[in-house]
Amino acid sequence: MKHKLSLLFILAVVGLMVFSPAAYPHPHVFVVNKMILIFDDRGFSGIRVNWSFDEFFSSMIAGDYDKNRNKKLEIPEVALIKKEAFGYLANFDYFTFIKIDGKPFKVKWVTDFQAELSDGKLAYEFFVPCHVKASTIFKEITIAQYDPTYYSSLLFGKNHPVKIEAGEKFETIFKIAENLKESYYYGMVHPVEAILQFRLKQ
Amino acid sequence: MNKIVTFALIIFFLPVCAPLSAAQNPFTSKTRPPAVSQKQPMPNHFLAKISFWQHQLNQKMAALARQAKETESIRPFFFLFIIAFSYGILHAAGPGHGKAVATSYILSQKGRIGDSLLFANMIALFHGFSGMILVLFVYFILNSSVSGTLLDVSHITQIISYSLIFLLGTVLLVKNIYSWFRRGVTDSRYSSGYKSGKKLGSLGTAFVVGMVPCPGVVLVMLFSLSLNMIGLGFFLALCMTLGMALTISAVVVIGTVGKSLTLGLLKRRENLAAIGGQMIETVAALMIMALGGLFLAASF
Repeated sequence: MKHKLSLLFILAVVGLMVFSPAAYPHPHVFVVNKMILIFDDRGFSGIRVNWSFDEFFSSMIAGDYDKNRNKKLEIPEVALIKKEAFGYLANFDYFTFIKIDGKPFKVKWVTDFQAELSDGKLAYEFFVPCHVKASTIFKEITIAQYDPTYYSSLLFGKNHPVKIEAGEKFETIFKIAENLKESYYYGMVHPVEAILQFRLKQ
Repeated sequence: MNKIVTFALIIFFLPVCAPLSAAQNPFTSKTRPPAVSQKQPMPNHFLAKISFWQHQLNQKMAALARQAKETESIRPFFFLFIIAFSYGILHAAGPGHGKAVATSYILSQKGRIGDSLLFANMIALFHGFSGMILVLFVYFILNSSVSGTLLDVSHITQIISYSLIFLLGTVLLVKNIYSWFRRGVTDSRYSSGYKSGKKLGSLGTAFVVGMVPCPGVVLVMLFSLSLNMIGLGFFLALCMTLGMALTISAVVVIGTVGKSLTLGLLKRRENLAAIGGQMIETVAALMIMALGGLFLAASF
């Protein structure tokens, strides 16, 4: 036993030297993530995203941006949040990583940003445009939402975190699955993806 | 037993295997995302699991704090203690919180388990208290944007801390290299334990490592202030700090025990034991220097 433990210790020390060794403490922000996958007449049109933040982070944002301390966010306050506590996420593709039939689709902008404070809990809502025309063959869209720095941890909500809207014209299949073939934060976390397949109804 | 050893080793390795990444809040800062590795990863659920548990505890803590405010009862405080303490344990089990530097420092020294424990606890206390002081300073004295000031203060303290860690590693490395040439003197130090000067040095090192405010403690304090319960903020921050102290202690003790066991195996071959001990210390000093340098480079 002593020999085994010593061997493990030596391996740990060698590991300490061989691997890159430093990391900042993460995560600090917890986000419950819900998505609505939206269709229009031609096919898939985008994702309406809702992020509910933990109360600790919410209190920090409320402390800084709820200027009149009425526990609600008015239009000017939302605009300031959009500028100072959301807009920078463009550098991170708004934490939204999409693939269309296996090919990456870069999220450059989002629309309809809203921020809400309710019972001390902060929520962001926004729309990610992503138009994919439906055909008779199944097309696959995978959507993963995560913070590559892992400062924030995005988790799917418990009850129906992914829904489909206006998809009646199409045959749709979707599931949520962890992608063990990919990882972020230096191989320590795997993305959880919403995988949508759709085609025109036969 | 095997599970305990595996868990302990994962915590030990976690700060080791995680390379540098942006420490700043991506919501409020202009940081850029790190390069994504294209390597095929090994299935790894440890960090995701502890994040999930932290989220559960975070929600429970917030709910109990609100309950304590509404009912003005002392009862939720007992559960809050357990939850905040557990949250601290898990929070420090993830990457960071000075575990790698602490372990390297302890390996570079000739202290006993008691010294290691004291050192680990001091790091956690400084780490937690700097978070508490930062919030009080920003909230009551500066009266300014917490997220912005947190970024600035964290950045400044990080630069100071990492510069000092780099300097400390350099000094230890130079001392160790010097000791290689004066081996007779160093061999006798094994039985002597820490001297008071060394204890002061450890305290200083713990301060340097722990001076970067813990964002977890900062957020807990801010939440309590938003409820107008500053006392609760101190209470939760202290419980969290104690939890973090337990995790950092566990990691540092693993390092100390591992070193003792390894050197104990070489007991009959005194010369080899001395060389082994010296080698571990030199490698650990190099490690401290590398950690300080890497962190510092990533801060700019």
